[in-house]
Amino acid sequence: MTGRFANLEFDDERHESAETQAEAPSSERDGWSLLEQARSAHIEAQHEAALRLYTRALQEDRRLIRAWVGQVQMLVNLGELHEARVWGDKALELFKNNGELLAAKAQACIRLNDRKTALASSDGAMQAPGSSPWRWEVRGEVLLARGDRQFDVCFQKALEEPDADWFDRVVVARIYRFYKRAPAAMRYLRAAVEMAPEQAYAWYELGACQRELGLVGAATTTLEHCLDLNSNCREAADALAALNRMSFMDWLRGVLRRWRSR
Amino acid sequence: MRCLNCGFENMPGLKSCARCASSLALGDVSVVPGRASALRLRTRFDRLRNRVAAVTSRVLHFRIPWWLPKTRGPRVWPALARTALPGLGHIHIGHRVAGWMFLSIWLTFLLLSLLTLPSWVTPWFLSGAVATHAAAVISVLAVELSFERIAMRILFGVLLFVALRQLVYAPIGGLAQLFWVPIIVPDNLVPGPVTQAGDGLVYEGRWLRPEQFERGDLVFYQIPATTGNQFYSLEGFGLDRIVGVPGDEVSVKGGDLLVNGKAPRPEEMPIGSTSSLPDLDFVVSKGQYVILPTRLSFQTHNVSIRDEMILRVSLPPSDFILGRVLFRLQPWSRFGRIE
Repeated sequence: MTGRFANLEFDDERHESAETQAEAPSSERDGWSLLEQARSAHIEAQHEAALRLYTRALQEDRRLIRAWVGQVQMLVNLGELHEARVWGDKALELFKNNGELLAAKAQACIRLNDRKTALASSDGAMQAPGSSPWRWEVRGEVLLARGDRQFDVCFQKALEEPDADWFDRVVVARIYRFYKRAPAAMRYLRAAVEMAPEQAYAWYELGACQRELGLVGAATTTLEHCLDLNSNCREAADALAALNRMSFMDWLRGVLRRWRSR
Repeated sequence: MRCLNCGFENMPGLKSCARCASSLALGDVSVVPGRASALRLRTRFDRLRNRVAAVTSRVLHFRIPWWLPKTRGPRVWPALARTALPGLGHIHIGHRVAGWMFLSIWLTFLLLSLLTLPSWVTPWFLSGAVATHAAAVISVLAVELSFERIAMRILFGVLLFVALRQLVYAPIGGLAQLFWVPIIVPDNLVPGPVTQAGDGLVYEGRWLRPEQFERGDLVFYQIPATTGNQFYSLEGFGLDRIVGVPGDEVSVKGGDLLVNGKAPRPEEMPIGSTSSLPDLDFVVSKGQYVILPTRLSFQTHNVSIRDEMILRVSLPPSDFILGRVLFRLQPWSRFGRIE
């Protein structure tokens, strides 16, 4: 296929972006490198830094849809849900019916408990061309929040996507933890650390989850391992310190959570 | 011009994609998102409100969106906040005609209710103002409420009207009455040049009422219920000038009033005639005032009983004096300050 008809096909965005990156001018290359830095910060859960980097990437190149999506995701992770929704709407005005953006907006809406809009956005995301783990993860979150039993199928679908990696398992686990389902999150976090044992953040999430469940010994070991991998991980150090201050009631709450999950 | 969203190759010069309508010109778009530091409270409130709505619908199997409307856009709440003054919310969201219409109708009702104060039509005009206010709020929430059933919308309107009346307008009215209280002159007062039955007056409320009154002050006062020898009098209200303050010696002899042995100045005389009063003699002690009931009508032909009744109502305690009368509101032909 040549000429304009070639553009009717939707290639994998990552492959396409790799090709375009190689032949892009310097400002665009800067944008892509900032995008990669933002992605790294995102993976390390440095949401504030990631948001700044996504913004800087967009200042270099406003066409980076992944940066727009990243901004909305970071705003959600920072708990600024209204702003995330407003920003998602703005990005959707520029990139109509973009599946990733619709999914990001759906997450903002569902965390605001606006289920109707969240479901509509998620529907739109699923109907949009292409597919990604992110869309399935948000679909699962929307169904989980609505009490629909199909949510786990969506998470499985997310992880079956070709692009799914260890971080997608962490994302699913974070969603479970957000909805107070730490035992279910454990399963995904264990899978994440098996896939990427060198990733300190996956270990930190696992340690935090174990702490929530009152598994003091296991949490201590996990968080210490996280600090071995990345001694600058302040969250892990704080969690470890908090673990030493853990009260009997915290432990009891964790045991109850484990018992309820059976 | 290739669309970044769908990959469609557009004709040069287009501003949006011909296939998916995404923007093709991104040069001037701001990329710095608004942050939430000032709005965090709103986020928490919205989450709480939506959670309550979700739990209620799950537990009661009954949707109650009429008091928990969901947020569907960022423009509703600023407009709703501005609707504290009906119409301003509409002007804020660009509906200028509707906004000015709501504002003018509301102000008209409010003005009419003030002009007719204190008559039987005042509550109706005030209700009109409250209904206009409720309609303005409902109009701002029209998009939110359009998702609900008609019965819910009507119920929401009724509840909003009641809530506005009881929680906004009634407290404001109560607050105003701490400064000025409108009254209608009671029927038990004999008509005279200063006031007539049915006149609308304003007297000082609790917060403006002076600690001590002076001779010549025209006051509205409460007459307690009393029981005497072969009579009883019901509780009521009186309106007259104070003729004696604590420490004064007040006497009426042959219809002539003397205060501390002298005839009072004309502006200190009671508003009615003293000629029909019996002979009286008071030494006013602390916490009491002398107000001669020159305008009260007594339903008895027995002179001794009438004299005793006059004696009893002429010395009201300080606490029973409600305040100085300031203005006459009704009728409009005699509107003005009462001297």
